Amino acid sequence: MKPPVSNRDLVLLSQYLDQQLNPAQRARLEARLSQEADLRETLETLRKTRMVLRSMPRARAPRNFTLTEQRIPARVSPLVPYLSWASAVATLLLALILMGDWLGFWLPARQAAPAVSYSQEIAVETPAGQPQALMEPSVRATSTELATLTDENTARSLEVQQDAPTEVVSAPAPAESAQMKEAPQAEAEAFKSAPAVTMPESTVGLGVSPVISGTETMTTTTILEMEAPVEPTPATPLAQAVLPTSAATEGAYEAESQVKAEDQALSAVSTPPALAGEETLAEAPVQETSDLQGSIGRWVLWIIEALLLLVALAAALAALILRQKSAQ
Amino acid sequence: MDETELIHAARQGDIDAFNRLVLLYQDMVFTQALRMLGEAAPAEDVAQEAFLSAYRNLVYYRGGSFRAWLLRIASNLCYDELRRRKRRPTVPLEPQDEAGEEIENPHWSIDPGELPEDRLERAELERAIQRCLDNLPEDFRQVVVLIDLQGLDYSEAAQAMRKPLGTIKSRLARARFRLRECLEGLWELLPDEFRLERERMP
Repeated sequence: MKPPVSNRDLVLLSQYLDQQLNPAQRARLEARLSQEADLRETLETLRKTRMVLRSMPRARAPRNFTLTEQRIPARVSPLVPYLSWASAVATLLLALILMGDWLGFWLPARQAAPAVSYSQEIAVETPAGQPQALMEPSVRATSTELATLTDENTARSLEVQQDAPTEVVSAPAPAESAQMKEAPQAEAEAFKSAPAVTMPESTVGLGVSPVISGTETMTTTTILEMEAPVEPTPATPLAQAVLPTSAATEGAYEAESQVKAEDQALSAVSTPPALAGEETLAEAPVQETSDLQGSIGRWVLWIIEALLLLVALAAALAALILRQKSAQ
Repeated sequence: MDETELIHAARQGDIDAFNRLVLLYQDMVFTQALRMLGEAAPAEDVAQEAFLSAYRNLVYYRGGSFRAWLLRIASNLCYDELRRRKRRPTVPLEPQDEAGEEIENPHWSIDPGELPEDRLERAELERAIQRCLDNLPEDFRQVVVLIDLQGLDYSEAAQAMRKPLGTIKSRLARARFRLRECLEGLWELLPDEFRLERERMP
């Protein structure tokens, strides 16, 4: 049944009976009580109800509920309240580590290594040259197609080389796909590492400078990027193409490097070697410093990761042991 | 030793100190279970389990009203028992003697100094009140038992129920209003001292 007074008044009346109102509230309510019959009637009903309830005596325990030595239950360890969060913390830390790995939080540092060695391999092999007959036909076809793009891309890369590596990445932007997300890092790494490789004078004898071979590596990657979406046969995702995972990809790399080495050797005639040399010298110390910082950073991250894992394991172990003990 | 010292000693593993606390509060814990459940046998089990649980979890007691903390444990166990009953409904048993006759005055309601006719009236009154309580929703029943039967103040009830003070006030008012029809006729059965008390109230 709906009360004759509002819910708020019902609460006020109930509090009034328990003497829980402050003097001002009490005075206001008493003033209203003297004027409102409904309020007075409800108060009277509540008063009687409360009185009947309070007349009920407390029951007496039928027996003593004291604990005997045989019935003493295992106590919860005093550490439990603090360590009750341990499993949650351990799970969170583990999730953090896994997320860090999966989302590629440390990914640039890890992928750099294979990319560098591979670009070095290409750079060293490029001037030596390998006979095209050794290549797979499909690879050769690819490399031929790639070769048609070489001139224009080499020119573009040479221009881009003057800018920061991030801008190099943005050069072939229209052809980029979602697969290529990893490419800029590897590209940048290849771009940085190539000049550091000691480059023998080209057998062609046209003096391809280390910087140019670096550009060559860049160009190779750039061409592959442009080629990937339109090329049906080698359809190697760029991430794989950058990493030396497939022999075909390696072949494509070598072949295209070789083809372009010739083009590059020719175009190098017009490139002032002195300028290229200056750039190499200027970049080398910065390169070493950043490599050193990169490797230190990688170690620090690795140590943090290992520490997080250890903490997570310790917390989980502590929670487990305590749970076992309190269950006994 | 006062209550705080007994609690401290019990936390250190002093079982005697804990048992002294049990003796202090066992009527209160049993009453809570009895009024919540309406039957003596399960209330007894709940009270025993409540003290075992209290001893086991004494480390979680962080000060405040100890009786409110105990009553929260007992109330939670009552809710578990009520949930079990909903899953497996049973017919409530009236207290019976060995011959299967219903006992008018079960042991938990006997006051040795009471006259037999008074005892009879009081037992009748108790049963009537219990029936009214049984018809209340559980949350309303809990707050009425805590405040009107056990004598806790609002803040202790809030601690025992882990609810805000406003919720306690509102539930108590609505519970009292809901009980008014059921309890109306019992007013006349109240002993004189209760009815006279009315004059002293606001």
